[in-house]
Amino acid sequence: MLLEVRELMKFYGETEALRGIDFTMEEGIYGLIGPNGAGKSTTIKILLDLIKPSYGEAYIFGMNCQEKSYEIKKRIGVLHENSRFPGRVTGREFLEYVGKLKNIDLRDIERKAEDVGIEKALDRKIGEYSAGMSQRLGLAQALLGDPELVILDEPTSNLDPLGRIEFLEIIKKFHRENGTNFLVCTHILSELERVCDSVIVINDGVVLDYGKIDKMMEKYCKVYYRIKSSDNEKIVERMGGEIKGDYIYIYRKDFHERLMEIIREGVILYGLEEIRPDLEYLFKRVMEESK
Amino acid sequence: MREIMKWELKNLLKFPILEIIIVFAVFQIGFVGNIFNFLVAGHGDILTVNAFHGEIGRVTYEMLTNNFIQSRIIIYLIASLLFTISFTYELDTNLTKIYLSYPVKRRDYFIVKFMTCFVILFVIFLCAGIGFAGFVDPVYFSVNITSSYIWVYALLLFLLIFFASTFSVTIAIFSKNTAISFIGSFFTLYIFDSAAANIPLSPPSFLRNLADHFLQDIAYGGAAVR
Repeated sequence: MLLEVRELMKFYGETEALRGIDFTMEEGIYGLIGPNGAGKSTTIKILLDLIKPSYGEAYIFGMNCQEKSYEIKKRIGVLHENSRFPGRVTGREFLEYVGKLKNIDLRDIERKAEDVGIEKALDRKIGEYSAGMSQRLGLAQALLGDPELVILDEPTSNLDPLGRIEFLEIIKKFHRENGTNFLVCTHILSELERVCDSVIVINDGVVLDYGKIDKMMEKYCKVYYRIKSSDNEKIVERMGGEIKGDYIYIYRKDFHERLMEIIREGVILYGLEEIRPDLEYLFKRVMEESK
Repeated sequence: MREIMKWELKNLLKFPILEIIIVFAVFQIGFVGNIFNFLVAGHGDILTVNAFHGEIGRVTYEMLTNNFIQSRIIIYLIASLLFTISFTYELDTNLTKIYLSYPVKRRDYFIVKFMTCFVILFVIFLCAGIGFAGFVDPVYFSVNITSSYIWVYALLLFLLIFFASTFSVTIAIFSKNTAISFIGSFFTLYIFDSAAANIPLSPPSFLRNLADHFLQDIAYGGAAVR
């Protein structure tokens, strides 16, 4: 187990930022998803020992985040939300500093810069970087030294749609090639399902549910089928569903078996499409179920 | 810790903070203090070029130290600026959060940053003060480095900068806003200094008493200054 959070609570005066969250993280790419103010960033700050929890404990690699933070930080990489790197130094100077703090081989800087696509901009001042390049630099510093776990807090929030896709592709590539594990904390879900294996759904300081996306889809969402046939009325009569225009929308667990029976009876199928719910829908469903 | 200090120096050197400090230090210690003394001394009516040069030539380490004590405002201004850049700007832009996410101990990180800023302020003002005195008054340029006046100046400078630094760094960390930190730190120092000037054992009062004590002691003790 990479990460474990037990009954974590955080109060700021009267405000309850975290109200007792529990979850575990195995190897893979996890998404920590929730609306703004759900408690995602507070959780990350506690994991990094930037703030102390009011109650509860968090463990990374089996080590307590508050007691062994120095040892933990040697093995993880982090990219914080809205990070602005020092604009008066070059990308190379900044990465060299990070490399020295992490005590790694400085040749890794060139490799990581190449991996994230900023190798040509390394000797330019960071202040001259675009938002996308700055975010890539952030990813490069997080990946320096090949950490076992990389925590990314809202990594794509200030990127354009193409930039987001490219950024997430880099994450996917790193996981595939190096086995790096990621905890991606975000409220932008549309692109996240491209890369995540599992999600942790958090809202109002509480973890509503977590696990593999497939299993959570099965648990919370229905898979719909859209059909166009020679006899829509007959299909609706036998299988249920709803006709909208030329199409029938059906949800049934025994969909395939029943459909085969109707086809054998001579109904011609012009089109069949499986409509899988996306992560946004899953998130909405989990939120609804928890009410 | 050495890496953090090097990085801090590199960052501060990229900003023209050192140039600003040097300009202010020279301005404060030399020009302001000297002209102020010159006018107060009642020579305003004979302000010819020769008279001016004559007065400039009278700069002594004693004047240097007295002027320094009388015009602490410049040091407050520079300390507020330096600590705001070093601490508040980084907190404001999330840089501190980034740096503390690396294997760095929080205590070490803040101590090293404080030390770096403190040393920069101290060394620059010390060099500017001593260098300026030697420049305008070549007679004393050859004064031995162990001159009592230099040590008194260094001690007073150390205490004053330490006071201004601790004050500024506290406001810089807790304000977390660049503008509030700079303005708040400077004005709080200035108001505190003005209000506490006549209170025994307050930093400004203590420094003045210390300067008087040492300087009189040196003067009456026949130190080989002039």
